[in-house]
Amino acid sequence: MKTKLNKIAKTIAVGIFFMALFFNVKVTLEDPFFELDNKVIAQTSSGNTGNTTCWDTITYMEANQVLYCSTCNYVSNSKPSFWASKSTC
Amino acid sequence: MSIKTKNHLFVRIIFKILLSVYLLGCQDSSSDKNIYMALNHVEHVIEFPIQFTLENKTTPSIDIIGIRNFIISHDKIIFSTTNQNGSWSILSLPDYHYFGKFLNQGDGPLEFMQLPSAGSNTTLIKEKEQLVAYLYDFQKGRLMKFNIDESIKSDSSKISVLNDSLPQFLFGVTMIDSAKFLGKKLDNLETQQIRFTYDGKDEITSPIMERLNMASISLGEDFNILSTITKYSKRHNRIVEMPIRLNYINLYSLDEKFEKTICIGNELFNISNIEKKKRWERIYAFSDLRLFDDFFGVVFINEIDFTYELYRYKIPSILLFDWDGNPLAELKLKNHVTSFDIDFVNKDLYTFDVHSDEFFKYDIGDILSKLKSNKISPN
Repeated sequence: MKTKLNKIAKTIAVGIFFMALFFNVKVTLEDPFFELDNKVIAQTSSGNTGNTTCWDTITYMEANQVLYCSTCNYVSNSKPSFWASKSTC
Repeated sequence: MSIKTKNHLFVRIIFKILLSVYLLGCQDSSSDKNIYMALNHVEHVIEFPIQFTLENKTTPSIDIIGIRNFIISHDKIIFSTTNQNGSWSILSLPDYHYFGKFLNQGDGPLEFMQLPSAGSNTTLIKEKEQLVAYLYDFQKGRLMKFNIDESIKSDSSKISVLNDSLPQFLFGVTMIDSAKFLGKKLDNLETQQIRFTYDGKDEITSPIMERLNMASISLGEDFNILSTITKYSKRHNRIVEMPIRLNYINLYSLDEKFEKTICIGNELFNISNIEKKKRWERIYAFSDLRLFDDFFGVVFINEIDFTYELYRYKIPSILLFDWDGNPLAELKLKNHVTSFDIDFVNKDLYTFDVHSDEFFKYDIGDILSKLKSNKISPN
């Protein structure tokens, strides 16, 4: 009886172990890709010629900055206006 | 060793491994992310010891269009405007005598591609009995010195370049002295705003600044969640950082001897929760900051962007704090404002609202007397 219980406990433990391993490996596999993606973005966004989000219409807001699509430049004291839509620079 | 003991040992090892895997998993990404741009010592302000309602306003007779904000320094009131040929209009107080307009937009050596604001990234001080403004040229990454008194005398912008090799697009450039400033730059793929002081040679980040620098947003999020208006009081050696989107103000000294986060309400805004909200559901918390000799004040908007842009249900108030970060008084208003300042000589408080262009003056002689009797002695 005890041997059976032990077997069941072993099976459950091994099952949980592999499940946990599966989920954690999944997470650790996502991270390297995430990092890689970040590096690509960092390389391409210098001088705002990559995939940085910009806004097509902007309005005044003190101490904020926004990347303005028509110039692909940061504009100080600005925020996206109410109906602004996103694009990339 | 019996089979039973072996089995028990095996099960124990498996559970220990599982526990370790679980604990390691707990340390993963999201919990590491810093969701508060606050200091270690937080004080919550639920009520102010005194409340005043600003009434009996008058409308000063000034004729300046395109005003963004204004600042009062000594006997002058300076309006920063959208005028490309003279962005700053300067008038005398209390008679509003017009001195002229200065600072041009353009690509010339002493012009600005983007006009400087009087409200942020600008430091006004008296140097050798002359009023000067230190300005950050956002587009070209330059530190400029604008001699206001000399400019008025000669009726032309007396401006010089102090440093032409600063990084562009900095946030919150605040002069500590004539050679050193506190700046903030976007870093880590635009997920953090990094504070540093720069003396022309080295960038230094103090432990308090490092604590605030840890605050981060998710990749691709609006980095303005971390934006602040930052000012420095030389008299008190205190930095005041007023975020635009967070319900707290950070007050700290450069010598690390003082740090406090003043939270308006019971709970600090959590950056991660802000990110979960749509752009127009996010709170516009504060709009302006002014430092005075014995206290500082902020304009508290506290309304979500959607209703603020369309209806403006909430009337802002001006909150005053002493230099230890204790709440002093709440000045309740009956009209909307985005910036304010105080003329202590004539005991007048001025407000301006950028959306309606309303500029008002209030006599606050009684309020200043009451604050003085509560052991606060303004100028």
